[in-house]
Amino acid sequence: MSEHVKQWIDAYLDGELQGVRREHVEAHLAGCASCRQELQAARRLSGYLRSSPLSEDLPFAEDFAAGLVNRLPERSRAAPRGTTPGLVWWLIPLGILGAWISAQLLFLLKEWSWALGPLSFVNGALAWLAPNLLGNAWLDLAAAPFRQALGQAGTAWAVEFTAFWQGDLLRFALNAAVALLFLSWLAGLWARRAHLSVQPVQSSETPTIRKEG
Amino acid sequence: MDKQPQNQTRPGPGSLHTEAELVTRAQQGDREAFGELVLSHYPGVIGVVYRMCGNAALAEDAAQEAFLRAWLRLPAYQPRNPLRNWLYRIAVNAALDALRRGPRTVPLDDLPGANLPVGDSHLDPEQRLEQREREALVQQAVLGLPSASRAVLVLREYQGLSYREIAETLDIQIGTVMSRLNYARGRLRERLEPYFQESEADDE
Repeated sequence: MSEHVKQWIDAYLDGELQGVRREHVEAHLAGCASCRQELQAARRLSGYLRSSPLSEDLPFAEDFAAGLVNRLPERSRAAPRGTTPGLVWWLIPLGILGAWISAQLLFLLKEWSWALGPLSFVNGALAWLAPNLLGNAWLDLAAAPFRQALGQAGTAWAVEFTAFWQGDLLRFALNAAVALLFLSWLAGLWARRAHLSVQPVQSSETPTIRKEG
Repeated sequence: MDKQPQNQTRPGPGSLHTEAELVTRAQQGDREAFGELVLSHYPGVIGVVYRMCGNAALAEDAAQEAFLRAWLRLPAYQPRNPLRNWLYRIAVNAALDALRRGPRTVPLDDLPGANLPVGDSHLDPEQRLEQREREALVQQAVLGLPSASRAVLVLREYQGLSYREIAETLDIQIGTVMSRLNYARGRLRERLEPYFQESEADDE
């Protein structure tokens, strides 16, 4: 006998199974009394739940609607349109991606600029990117003790250090910043979804019914 | 020849407009249009909140809150989602809030099942009492479910939504719908199975 299909009984009963899976469940049910029993029990529960009527104390639709319309509050004219925040929200990661790609391209260009030779426009465009802001003089100062102590080797190391500071570290910092921005956006998305989905309530929080008067 | 009603939700007095038109008008501030939407969606929404809350007073509170929220949020509603599902989602949350807040005052006859419809009139008083007891048992069992599972169960059993519609309404995965439904039904069977066996024995 094939494996029991108990985990599919609910979906089968709800008409949510199609194709091969449905055929498989039907074939199994035809030959398995235990699963048929399960199906019967599920059907009975469903039928009983559905046969339970609504309370008669609930107001009629007409009365309810009329009462509610009279109590509707004023709505501010500048009610937020759903489209704009949604669109802006989804443009954020595109912006982050765009910024990252641009930065990567510029770094690539900077590396190639050695090969491209003295093309002034490339150098000009890259001028702002080069970490001159940090000040080469400051870097010289920082590297000076090593240079003095280590002589020739120290000078070589200082050159490496400067190159690292100017290139790789900046690149690393930029990648980290992009990653941080993206993660913040993801966290924001998660928070929004959590806010929108059903707010969980412990069953213990269900109201205790007071017997009054 | 008997005349059968065309469908369950009878058209309201002014329902000459399509729902989309009513939504647009209500979004622009037309209260009458919103009233018509309330009228047509009341049966569904009250069904959701009543099954979620388990008593009429809380359900009425929750339904009012749900429609008020819907009115305030309507300008942000995207017509590409069915209005019914959008309302059900608001209704589920309003019901949970109403449960959290607790009842204003619950009179004795609002105890779950205490004031259910008389039921089949051919039943004698003893049978009727028994039926009420069973109803109360079911309602308490449903109320005893965790809210997340209860919402899925209510939307499936009482509102007849498909798994996909439930997933969209509650913004969860279809797999989650299935597991919550499975859990809810399992718990209900555990609690109600003795009754089923009893009623089967009665039938024999």
